Amino acid sequence: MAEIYDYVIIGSGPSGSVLAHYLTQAGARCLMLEAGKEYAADTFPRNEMHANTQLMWNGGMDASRDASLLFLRGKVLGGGSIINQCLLDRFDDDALDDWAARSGIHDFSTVAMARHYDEVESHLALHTMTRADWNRNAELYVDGFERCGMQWAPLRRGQKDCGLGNDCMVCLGGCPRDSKQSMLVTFLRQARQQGLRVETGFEVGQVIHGARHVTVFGRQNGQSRQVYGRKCILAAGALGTTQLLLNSGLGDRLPALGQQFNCHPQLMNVALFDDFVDAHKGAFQAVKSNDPRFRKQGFKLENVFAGPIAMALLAPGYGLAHQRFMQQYRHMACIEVAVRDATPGAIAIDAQGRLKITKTMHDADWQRANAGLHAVDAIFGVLGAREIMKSPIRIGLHLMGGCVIGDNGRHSVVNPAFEVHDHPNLLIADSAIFPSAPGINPSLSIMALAHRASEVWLGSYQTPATTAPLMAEASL
Amino acid sequence: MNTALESARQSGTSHEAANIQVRHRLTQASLYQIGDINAGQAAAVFASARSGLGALSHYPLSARLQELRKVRDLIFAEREAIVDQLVAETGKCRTDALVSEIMGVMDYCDWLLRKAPSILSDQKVATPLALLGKKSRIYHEALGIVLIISPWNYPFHIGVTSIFAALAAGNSVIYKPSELTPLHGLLERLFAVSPLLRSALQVVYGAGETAQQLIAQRPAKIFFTGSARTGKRLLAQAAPLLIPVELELGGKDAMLVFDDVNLARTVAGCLWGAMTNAGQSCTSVERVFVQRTIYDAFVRMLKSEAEKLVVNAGDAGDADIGAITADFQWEIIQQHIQDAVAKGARLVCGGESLGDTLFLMPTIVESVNDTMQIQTAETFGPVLTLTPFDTEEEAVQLANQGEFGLSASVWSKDLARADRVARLLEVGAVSINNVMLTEGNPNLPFGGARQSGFGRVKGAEGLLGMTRSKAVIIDKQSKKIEANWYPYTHAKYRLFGRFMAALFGKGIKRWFGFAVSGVALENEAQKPR
Repeated sequence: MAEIYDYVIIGSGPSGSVLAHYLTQAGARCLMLEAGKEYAADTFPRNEMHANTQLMWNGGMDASRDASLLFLRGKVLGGGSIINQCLLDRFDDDALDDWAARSGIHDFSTVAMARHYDEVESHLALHTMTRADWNRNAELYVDGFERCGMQWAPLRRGQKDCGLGNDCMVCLGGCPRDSKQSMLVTFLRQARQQGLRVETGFEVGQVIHGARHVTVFGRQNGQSRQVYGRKCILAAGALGTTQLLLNSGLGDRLPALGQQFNCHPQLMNVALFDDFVDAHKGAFQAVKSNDPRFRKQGFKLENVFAGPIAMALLAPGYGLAHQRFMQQYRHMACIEVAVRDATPGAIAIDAQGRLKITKTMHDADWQRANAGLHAVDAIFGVLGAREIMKSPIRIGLHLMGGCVIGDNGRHSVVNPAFEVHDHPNLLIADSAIFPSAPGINPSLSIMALAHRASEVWLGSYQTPATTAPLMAEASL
Repeated sequence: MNTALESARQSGTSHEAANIQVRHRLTQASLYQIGDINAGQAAAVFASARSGLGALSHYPLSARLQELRKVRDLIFAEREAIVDQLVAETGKCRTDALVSEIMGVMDYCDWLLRKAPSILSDQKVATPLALLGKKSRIYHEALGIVLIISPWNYPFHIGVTSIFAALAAGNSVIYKPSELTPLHGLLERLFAVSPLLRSALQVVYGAGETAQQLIAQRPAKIFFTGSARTGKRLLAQAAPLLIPVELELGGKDAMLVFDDVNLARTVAGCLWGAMTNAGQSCTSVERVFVQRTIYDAFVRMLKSEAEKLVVNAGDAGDADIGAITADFQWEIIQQHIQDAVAKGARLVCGGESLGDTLFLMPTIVESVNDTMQIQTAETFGPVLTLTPFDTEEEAVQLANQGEFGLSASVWSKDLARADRVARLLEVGAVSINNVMLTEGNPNLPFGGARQSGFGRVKGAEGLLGMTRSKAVIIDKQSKKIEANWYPYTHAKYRLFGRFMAALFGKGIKRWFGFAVSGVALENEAQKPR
């Protein structure tokens, strides 16, 4: 008998892994396909360059068609959870209310989602960074915020026994001490213990939907391979999931496919100080902006830094000038503007099936970015920075949309039961279904949505007691 | 319209029950029920057909074809809905349904509309010299009420092409589709666009019992497509009633591959020929014979390509191999594979079902021999066997083994060799450097040799099979008495001798004798004894 799985899961990031856990826990036979390779704490690449080339799609160089934005997405077992900072925040009313309005799904509310957040958080070691975790970069950040009268908050991270002072920055290339709460050490590990089968190096080209099963067609190690599932879960992220549906020829039947592509454009700003900052030491990120004015204006300020290769990219030029810049590495402080983008782009494919991403920052987005840049200027200004350098490149993080969820087949791709419209055996619960950009790191919410989707599919989901609508009425 | 059956049912002559459950082949959801008819209902069906008998043949051919065009146009317009119903009842993949069933019907219908006028119109034929002054004609007349029994593998194509041919020829049709894939209501709906044709078509649902009841009513001819086993039973029932029967039965079709072929194309053709419609075609490739010099390379590429085939019915036309339509066929296929493996055959790939579904993985078997059912009996699934051969003679001898003789294909760059081999194969059709293609040309007749049946459908031959040819000779009205009429006399006998010597002898001078004896005979014939 050729194997036919209950679920074939394409992608091993926060969506695929959390789903794999809850589905295998319920006794379902699941196969997970991952295009990338499997690494472990002791085999992750040890420098930025190799981390990009070995752990990301196209070497971390997916660009929009006008090359104004670069997109990073994981191609490794564990997906984005391997290459992110594991900042785990819940979405707020602002984000979820917008989703409810756009999708027509009233369960998108902090009240109705709380149960799902609680559940996935119970599987994660969460650490709220304390003053002891701060490095000089964080101290400057907080100092600047307080002097400018801006509100900040400690960050919450998924980490466990990170060691003395969170002293490494290589998190972004895979945690070498199994501390960061990536899927490898959390949901994926549990799912494997529950019988999940994982195949890596399997690049899916097409899904063929049928009345009773889905054929998943792809290549593994240069060989054509097919696997079969009664249901197929696409969990390859906004770009991967959307591209796969497009390459499967579903564009004709799903008018909204590829639309509403959002990301959080990041602008890294470096300030030079006379004293040593040594931002590369200690905790890479410890604090975050928590100012309602920022939220209203559509940006966040991130307390971050980057390795020497990424920093070198930020300073265009050659020779002595560039050398001098890099010589000041220990004097650099950094604050990043993360924009909650307002203008969605679109994902399409060319004749060869390759991605064509249209995503330009329009006026509305620049207003948000500029508001953030002003705030950064103010902060570095009061701190007495010798020089402030704005980012010449923009990185699109948190890729979202393309297969948005909703109750209307013309404006959405996925129905409220997380099934592709008219294709009941194709399921999506990853960031591709996001109706808009939340302006908050999405990882934890992807996990919460995965839990919710698993309940819907397993038939155990119950609409939460009518609290939400009642409250809405009460507020009228 | 088709009310005879309904009224018979309502009038209480019926004791049948709707005991056959038709299900969606993929979801197993219940679709509807049908039931066998009894003798009284069969009689009612025929009585209804007889009451309108001739109605269609009274219309000129051009009018009948004009009506057929309406149905053709509706089929074209409704093709996606028809594909939906076909996929639901057969589980086949959408492309098989669209291309083999709908496109095949469209192709045939257009051929019919173009060619039927010349094939069915009255035919003038030559009159021999001895019958000087007379005219000879052949009228291709309707048979009357024909019974068409169609199978479950191509329920639309085989049913509709046969019905089209029968109606074009002016027959009244009683059509019994397979109880596995009745396509309930579809033909009634499509033919309703032409009330004239609809009145000449009765669709009767049921299983073997229904077929027997219908045969007992003595249709003018039976057209049966199906298994050899059922064909023999049907023939046995028809024989004492002297009902002519055309039988399109199974096959165990061979593909012969010589070592001068383009490997990639031949492998692709082989896979399609063996796996199309999940191998549920009477002419699908079941036995592949490959010249030993390229055998290993052929098997390697075949396996690699077979593993790329998408096993799914699909709902957008992007799947390759659909489900097995009949439960009993599923059992036969599994049994053939098990029997072969038990007797030492080697599975190159496949041989297993896809989980607990009704899909079978594409299956390639080698090291087979004639003690195995898989090499001798019709498997009718996505299964092929591979056997190497050394010489042309050996290839022909291998292909001609067994009891069937439906079709075959010969693959070689050397067209002279391919033609030589094609002539030696004991089959009804041969595709050279292609596969299952003769049935793609409506000009070509379709039918088998040996246990694959007899009679031909399609082509001029097939269309004429729906008619009875009436020979007509026309003489003028006069007082003349023919020489061969009475009285027989000595004189006439002598003159006939000379006349025949002139007619059948040798030498140019005999034509003078022919004229003289001819005139003398005519004169002699006018005299009384």
